[in-house]
Formats: sequence, structure tokens, C-alpha cells
Amino acid sequence: MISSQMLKGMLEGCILEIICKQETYAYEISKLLEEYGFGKISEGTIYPIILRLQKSELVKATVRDSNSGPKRKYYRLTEKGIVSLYEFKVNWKELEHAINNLFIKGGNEDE
Amino acid sequence: MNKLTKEILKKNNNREEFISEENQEIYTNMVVYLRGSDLTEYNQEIVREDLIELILDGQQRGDNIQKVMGGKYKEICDEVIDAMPKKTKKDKIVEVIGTSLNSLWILGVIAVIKNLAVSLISKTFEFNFIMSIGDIITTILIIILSNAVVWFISRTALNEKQTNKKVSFLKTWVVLLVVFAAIILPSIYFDTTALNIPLIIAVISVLLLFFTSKIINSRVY
Repeated sequence: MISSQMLKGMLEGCILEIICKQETYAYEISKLLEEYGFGKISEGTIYPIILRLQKSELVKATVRDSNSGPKRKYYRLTEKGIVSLYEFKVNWKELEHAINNLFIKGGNEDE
Repeated sequence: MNKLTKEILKKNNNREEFISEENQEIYTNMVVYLRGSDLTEYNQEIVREDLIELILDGQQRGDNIQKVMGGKYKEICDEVIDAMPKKTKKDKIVEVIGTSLNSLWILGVIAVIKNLAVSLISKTFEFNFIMSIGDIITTILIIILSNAVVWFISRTALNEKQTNKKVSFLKTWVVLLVVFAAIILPSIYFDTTALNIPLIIAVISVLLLFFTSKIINSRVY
């Protein structure tokens, strides 16, 4: 299981990517993260992150009726969100490269 | 509270009726914790609306609040508070004035009724509004202590429950005794008259306080 401290900085970008793929809601984001191997991440954990993304105008919410009961907030990426997701991916590539370099040059036996 | 906030509050009050008994306590504690935060009343209701829908959505699937929120209620609330815009200095000043005026008109009504009763019972029919120095100290203490109690309850709403019932019971009694002593003793020992005006002037003043508080509170965002 990925440690929550490690996940903290990454989740914003990962949620942006999920929302970029499809307009979606908190529970679906939680389920998709689980399917991608992030482990169980509750809607309670996702909600404050979405609030931050909304505050930064990276995502927009629309309230719509769901097929099964209460109304749901569906989130979609804004133009600013698309740019931010691109920057996240660039940063991630740099970080991945740096960490891989460190592990390989550091003589990690697993590599 | 402004009109828009009142509308969401009313809607939320209706929606929260559908939260199951099992989820009710934790949901209430989360809302109480948010009430004590630096969020404007409008943003508190926006967050409350989201929490209600998340919980109801969970209930629909058969998940309880623990599963929906992941169990870390205080942490989630702190992150939510952190993510939302805070009250500005102006918001805070307007809110403090609004709350103080609210307390003053309510305490004013009580004082008017007390003075009216004294005039009728003593059969002097002077209909004066008399306040001693002790009454004024008591009024100020009631306002300060009630705000302190609300602050304490909201700040500790999501703390781990006190397991030792005896200690908790004693603590409650000590706090209550101190509060009652602080409220009652000044009116007994400081009985020098500080204010003596016709009752009708007091009634008009209380009405003015009431309408001013309504106007100011309608501007609280």
C-alpha cells in the first residue's frame, strides 16, 4: 500500500487526470483510483482535494440527478486545469527520471 | 445571515433529515466543528450540502459514514477548512457586531420583563428600567461565557470521547458552578444603580437593538 504521506502531493495531479478522461463524481474517482492500484481512498479524502482544485479554478462542478437517488456533483476540467495537468505530467516525468537516476546510480540491488 | 445563505440552510435542513440514525452523530459533530471554523456562513452551508450528498450517496450504496469519510473526520474537516476561502476582517467585524447585538436585544427583553414584573408585583407602578452595576457585569459575562461555550463545543466536537465518566461528570459540574457563580454573584454584590430610565425608553432601545441586529445580520455572508 502506498503511504498516505507519499500520496498527498500526487493525488491532485492524479485526480485531474481522472477528471480529464471523463466528467465524474467523488465516489467514481475513489473507485477508479482503487482500480488503478492506489488502494482505498475514501470520498472524504478526495473531497478536500476537489475543493482545492475548484478554488484554484482547475475544475468546475455541475449538480445533476444521478441514476440511483441523490443529486451528484459532477466535475470537469477547465482550460486552466488542462494546463495544470500538463505541468503535473512534465514535473512527474522529471521527478521519475531523477528518482530512477538516484536508484540506478545509487546501486540499488532491485534495479 | 443573508438571503442566499438562508435558502441553502433551509434546503440542507430538509436534506439532512434523510441521513440515517447510524450516520447522524458523526455528521452532526462534523457540522458543529465546521461551525466553529473561520469559514463564512455561506461556505459552511456549501460544505454541509456536499457532506450531506456524499453521505446520502453512500447510504444508497449501503456504505456508512465511516466508509465514506475514511474515519479521519477531524483531518478531513481541517483540510476542507484549509481549502475554502476564509472570512475577511470585515466579515469578522460584522459577525461579532451582529452576534453581540443579538445577545443584547434578547437580554434586553429579559431585563424589560423583569423590571415590568418588579413594578407590577411591588405595586409601585413606576415602570422604570433599573440596572445595577452588577446587572451590567452579568450581561457582559453572559455574552462572553456563551461565546466561550459555543467555541469550546465546536472545537472539541471531533475529539476522542472522554472515557472516564466520573471525571467528565465532575468537570461538567465544576464548570457549571463557576459559570453560575460568575453570572449570579455580581448582581448580588454590586447593587449600585447604574441606569434608571423610564421603561418605555428601554422598550424603544430594545426594539432599536432588535432591528439593527436584523439589518447587520442580513449582511453577514
